[in-house]
Amino acid sequence: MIAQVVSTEFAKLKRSVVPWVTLGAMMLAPGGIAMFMWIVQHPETAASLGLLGTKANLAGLEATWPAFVGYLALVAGGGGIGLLGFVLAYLFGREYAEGTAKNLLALPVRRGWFVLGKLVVALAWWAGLVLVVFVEGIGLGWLLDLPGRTPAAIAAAAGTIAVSAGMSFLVAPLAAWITVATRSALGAVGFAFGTLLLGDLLGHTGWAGWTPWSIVLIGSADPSAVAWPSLVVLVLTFAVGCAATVAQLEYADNP
Amino acid sequence: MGSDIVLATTALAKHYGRVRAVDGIDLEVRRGEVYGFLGRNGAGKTTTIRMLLGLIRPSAGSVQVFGRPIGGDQEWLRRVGFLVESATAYASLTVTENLDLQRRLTGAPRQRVADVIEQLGLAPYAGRRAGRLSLGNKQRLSLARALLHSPQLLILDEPANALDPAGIVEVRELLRSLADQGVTVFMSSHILAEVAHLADRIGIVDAGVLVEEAPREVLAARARAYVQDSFTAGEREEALLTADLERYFLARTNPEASR
Repeated sequence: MIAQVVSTEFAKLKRSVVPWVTLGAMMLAPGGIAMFMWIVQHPETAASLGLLGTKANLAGLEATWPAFVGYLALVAGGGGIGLLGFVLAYLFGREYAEGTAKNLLALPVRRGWFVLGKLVVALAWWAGLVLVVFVEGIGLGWLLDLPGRTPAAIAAAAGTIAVSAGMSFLVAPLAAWITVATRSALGAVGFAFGTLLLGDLLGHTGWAGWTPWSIVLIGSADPSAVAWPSLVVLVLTFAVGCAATVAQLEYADNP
Repeated sequence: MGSDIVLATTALAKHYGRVRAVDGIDLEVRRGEVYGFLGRNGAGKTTTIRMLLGLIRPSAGSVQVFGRPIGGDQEWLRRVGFLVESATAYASLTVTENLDLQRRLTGAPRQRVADVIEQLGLAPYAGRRAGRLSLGNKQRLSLARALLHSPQLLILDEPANALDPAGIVEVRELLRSLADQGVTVFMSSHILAEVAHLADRIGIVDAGVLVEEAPREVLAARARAYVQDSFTAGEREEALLTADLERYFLARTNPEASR
């Protein structure tokens, strides 16, 4: 049955514009980062084109492959907190917006399987987006001819981006729970972007290693900086998000 | 509970704080019976139906379907078709695609999609996106979804909503023929005429309480006596005129469905 649930969840995306919107949003990020790299490489040309304002401060930004990859990893990590929250809010929230939740929950299918099915779709969706960002990043890095780009560096970049994307997926199910608890996507989108902000703020404090969203941001900058207790926090966050979503559908009143 | 009892509730109640949406309803619906659950807007019909389907949890009481308490693994829903309140579907998917999703999740044979499309008169709209259907056709799609896996029990909340008079007659005949084949139908409505034409037994719910329950003939006799005693000849004539107009309208628009 789970195969049918997953396949129907994918089928629901047919003709939906939302995957394309997320693809467009994600593809903007490497382009934006590459533009800053190019400005650092060619400050005079950028100034003559009006791309570098007199008050612009790009001090500290290096036009190197490691720096470029660092920003791409941040897109997969920090961007993932926001965008994956949006994706899950859409996958669960459309059932309430279109009034189909009641049809879904009174089918001869365990409700938890729908949660699993939607998480599988979100994972595939997110993996596809991250792959596009990586390939686009490689292409732009090649066009910019950034120093330090070796096969080993590219492989390391792939690893860093994959780890960042994976960590951001672990915190995402909480957005699914917010959606089913509020029966609306709006709260979950607010939650996702709010936690991104919270993660950034608490990332500068002593609680960073215990705050799931800060851990994702720290791990995006340097995966080796994530200690094992922080990994446990991420796994627990994933488990709590999934369990809360299933429990909400199983035991709370539904529309 | 007798083996021919398909759906039963015992002291079923749902309270929201001080509001008693449903307040101790006892029901028994027999195999092959059409049970009309009649009540005004806000009487507790939809809340009851949601509890029957396990969408909301009763504050008290219980629901038994096919002799077993509902809940658990949801397998009991394999024998139940339903329509809850408004007709809904995935707007970006076509009629056929919407039904195919349901087919895959209920394990119904592939052929059933074409069958219910034909049965509900949706063939001209089979390739149309659900979001572009009229309300009446959306309702037909929801009914098609309810019938897709050939359920033995149909729980229908206002099945005639948004249907035109000809559509109401078609659906009425379809439900009657299903009941004749042994399918049990529990349908709610706030329109007496809809229930009067179809139901074998009628329960009247008000303020969450089942205030009356009787076979259709018994209730009809009580209604006639009440109308005779309480209304003037002019008012009774007006009511008959409405019924005549409905029949004439059907005859002019769909002769086959007019009787």
